[in-house]
Amino acid sequence: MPPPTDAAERAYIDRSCRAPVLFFFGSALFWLLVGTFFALVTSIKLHDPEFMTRAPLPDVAKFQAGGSLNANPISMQDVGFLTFGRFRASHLNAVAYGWASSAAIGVGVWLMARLCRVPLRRPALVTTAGVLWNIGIAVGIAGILAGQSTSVEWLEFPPYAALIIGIAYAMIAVWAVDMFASRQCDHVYVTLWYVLAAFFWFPWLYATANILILLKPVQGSVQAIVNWWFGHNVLGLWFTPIGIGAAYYMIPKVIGRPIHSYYLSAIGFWSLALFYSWNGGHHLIGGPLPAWVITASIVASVMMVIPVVVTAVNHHMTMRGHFGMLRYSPTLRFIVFGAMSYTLVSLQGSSMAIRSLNKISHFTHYTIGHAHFGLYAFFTMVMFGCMYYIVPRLCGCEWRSAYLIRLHFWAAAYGIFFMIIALTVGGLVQGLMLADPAKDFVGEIVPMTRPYLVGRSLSGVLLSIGHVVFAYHFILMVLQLGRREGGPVYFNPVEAEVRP
Amino acid sequence: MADDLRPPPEAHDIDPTLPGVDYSERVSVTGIHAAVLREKIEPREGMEPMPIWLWLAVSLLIGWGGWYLGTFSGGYRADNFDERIGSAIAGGAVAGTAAGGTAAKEDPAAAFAKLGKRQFTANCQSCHQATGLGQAGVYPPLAGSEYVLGNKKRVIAIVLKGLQGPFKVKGNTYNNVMQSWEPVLDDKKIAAILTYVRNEWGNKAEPITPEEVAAVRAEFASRKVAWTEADLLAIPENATINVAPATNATPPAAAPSAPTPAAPAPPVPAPKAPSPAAIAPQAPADRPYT
Amino acid sequence: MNRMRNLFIGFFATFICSWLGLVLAPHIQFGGLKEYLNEDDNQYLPPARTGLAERGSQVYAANGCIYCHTQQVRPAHQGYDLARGWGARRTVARDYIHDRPHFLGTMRTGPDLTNIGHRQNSVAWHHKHLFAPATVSKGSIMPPFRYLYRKQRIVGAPSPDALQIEGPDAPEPGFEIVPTEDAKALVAYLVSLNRMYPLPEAPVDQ
Repeated sequence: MPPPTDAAERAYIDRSCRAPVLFFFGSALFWLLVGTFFALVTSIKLHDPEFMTRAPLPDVAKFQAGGSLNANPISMQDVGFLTFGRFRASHLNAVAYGWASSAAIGVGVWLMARLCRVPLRRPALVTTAGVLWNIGIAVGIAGILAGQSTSVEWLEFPPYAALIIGIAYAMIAVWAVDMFASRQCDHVYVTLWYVLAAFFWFPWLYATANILILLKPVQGSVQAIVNWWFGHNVLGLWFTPIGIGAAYYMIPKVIGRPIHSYYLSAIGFWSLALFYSWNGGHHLIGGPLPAWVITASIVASVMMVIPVVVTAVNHHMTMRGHFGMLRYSPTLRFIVFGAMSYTLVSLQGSSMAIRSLNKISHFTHYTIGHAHFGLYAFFTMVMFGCMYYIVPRLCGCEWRSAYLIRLHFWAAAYGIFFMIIALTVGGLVQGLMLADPAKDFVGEIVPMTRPYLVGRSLSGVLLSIGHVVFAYHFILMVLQLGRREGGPVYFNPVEAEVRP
Repeated sequence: MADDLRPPPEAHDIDPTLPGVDYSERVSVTGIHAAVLREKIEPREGMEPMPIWLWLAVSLLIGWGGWYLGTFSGGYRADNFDERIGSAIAGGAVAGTAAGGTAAKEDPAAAFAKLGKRQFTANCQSCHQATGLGQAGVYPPLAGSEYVLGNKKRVIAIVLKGLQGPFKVKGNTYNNVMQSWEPVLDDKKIAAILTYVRNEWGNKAEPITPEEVAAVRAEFASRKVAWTEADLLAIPENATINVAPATNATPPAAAPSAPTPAAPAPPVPAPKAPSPAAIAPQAPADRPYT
Repeated sequence: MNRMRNLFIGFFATFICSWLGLVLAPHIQFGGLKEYLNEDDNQYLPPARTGLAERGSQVYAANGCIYCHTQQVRPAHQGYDLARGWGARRTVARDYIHDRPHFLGTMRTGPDLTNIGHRQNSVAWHHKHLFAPATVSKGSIMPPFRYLYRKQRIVGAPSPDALQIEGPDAPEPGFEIVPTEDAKALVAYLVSLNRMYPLPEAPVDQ
């Protein structure tokens, strides 16, 4: 029998994480809703450019021409902050830093505490970092809307906002090292490598990119490679390790058996660290960079097959014989959906780095589809799964309704599926038409892609429904309105022999 | 693996006196921590070895990666942007596609035709399209256009100065702006483009020589604004171009009366092709990098 | 692997590889390129930008033009860029030495703009296009940038730079639409985009 203090220790650790982690989750969901709003409007603007271009303001020309404000009441005027280019940047930053990173920090903090087997140290530091983090994002998005975007993809926040975020991030990194140093366990579980590495890598990445592109800019094409070294590493060395690390924790935790192989875990982790960090150049194939830079990134992108397949085998072998549990456990279903997406999207990514395929897919909606495949179908789904597991332990009550969870899952799953299909097919059509110079750009290619963009907006509505449902459910939990009787919330009534 | 499936701990497993366990709730502690109590054990790792097939696949991939890196890295040079140029080529400036070498030996007529197509692609195609059909209501067509096929002086004048709409072509009015190409393109390029345009997409008209372009350029040197329809139509339909006699270029009349679209066989500016005299008149307005 | 120090050495070692390879090495190898002096005409390439065009690049950045327009021309074997007439040659590192930040872009919802100043150097066209894209490019899904223009009452003679606009976007009688400083700067920048010149590492195939 395990020591009886095991559960008490976990309860104690969870209790210590309660405020900071719930704060990060709550702000993550807030930014998710904000980011979803930006996303929907941006998406509609792409097929309907006149959508939401005006805001009610006084007619300045008539006013200056001698009219009075009363005679010329407020009318709809064109404004800059509603333009596509600023909304799109706001969307990316709200979901990447506001939603995904906040969720990642929340999950990472909880996983660190659980796996180090110590109650959260310096909770004030974590909470302060969280507050700063949110201020930074709010200031940054306001800056973008006001026309101060840096126009560097993944780094659009104006330098003053980036500074706040950088400080917040450094605080988390310091905290993580402190936590790890005071751990009460001998064995370092694989999840801990991933989470710790992510906390260690990201501040370095963020600082390098901000300094070399914005503060003390290097020459144009060097900026480009630094930009994509950073941009791809946000995915590869920040979101991916947290997502994979969380899956490594949750899958064995929910099904109650050890992860298949320590060796596969180790090879998967170290090959990811080695290869993913070199991938950035594949965003610049055909671009103004010496051949060796591009070739090195292409090789590294294809080498990504190694950690991906190794991790997929490891997860699959762990799950083998337990796939039936996907019918019941919300956590497991979200996480396994995410882990499988990770395998698919990574293999797709490796293929897109091949020069002959990139020739067509580059510069099209195909790439946008790939980005959503990675950040949503993989990472966001894993984060949802983790939250379904963690929040009841922090709030001391159970999710209120299996129906709401089901709604969330299917809205998210169908929504992202249709979005990927629309963007992938639309992108292929776009790429193939572009390759034929006889096809008129505005006359033929634009009208051909438009239906796919409408399809993307519709799938975005589905995703939005899921987000609103989840945010509502989360608020109920935080308000202690969850259920207090009965067991955990399952999708379906559980038969005794497969009870997760 | 039976020992992995731990039974849920009993209620007394939890010590309510521990600091922090208190949630200030009314219900029992057991109920609050139900989620923690029913949890499975913390994850651990099994020690299964890596399958042989995976080792094999990984080794193959790494081998491929090394080969690709070695073959397509362009010698790790800063000035080599073309991965196809192998690492073996070291020293000296990196050659382009070696087109420079062959161009010199090329038949001047074929070179002129090629120049026309290439310059059309680089300068005209984004508006008038590769099909020469333009864009309905926005950019007029070149295929079958009365201006393209009509008087040489007018069409040269259009390219040199640009147009300001409204402008009627083939019965449709276009209200748009065409830029002036006078400062951008030299006489030879304009002649090549126009010869190409006048003999592509089913068009058939006499070729245009660089000398003719030079003459028109000189004639309208003082005009600084784009043509309006009325201004352009003021040039008579049967206007002729007085080619500067200084050049010994083949006169345009020597052109075949019915050039085939595939091979327009333009009267290239004499065998001793770009003769300095032929190119000279354009010099003042020309950009340095044509 | 369980020891903290070893773990961190591993994190550091894997990461520093890519930092050295994709950040430091490029900076050392081609981060200090100079303008190329064309000895035929004593011109420095790429030419430096004027102050107005430089300011225009900030407007380009602020309004997110890069999300739909690239500024890079791929070689003939790596795409259709040259066949579409977007340039005379591929672009190379030296073309971007004046760019802060870089505007290479990743998406072609709209056409490439590397050489837009060569293809379309009419300032009037650009203003009209920015104000109401569909009037000069039917079917365009480019967002209108009307907020970069100002409506004002005509006092005396109409301004020389007033836009010739018809249709639903036309101002009411007695008013005219003029570009703001931002719009003028943006167009100056667009018209300055011209990388048709040959460079030793990227000759133009005549």
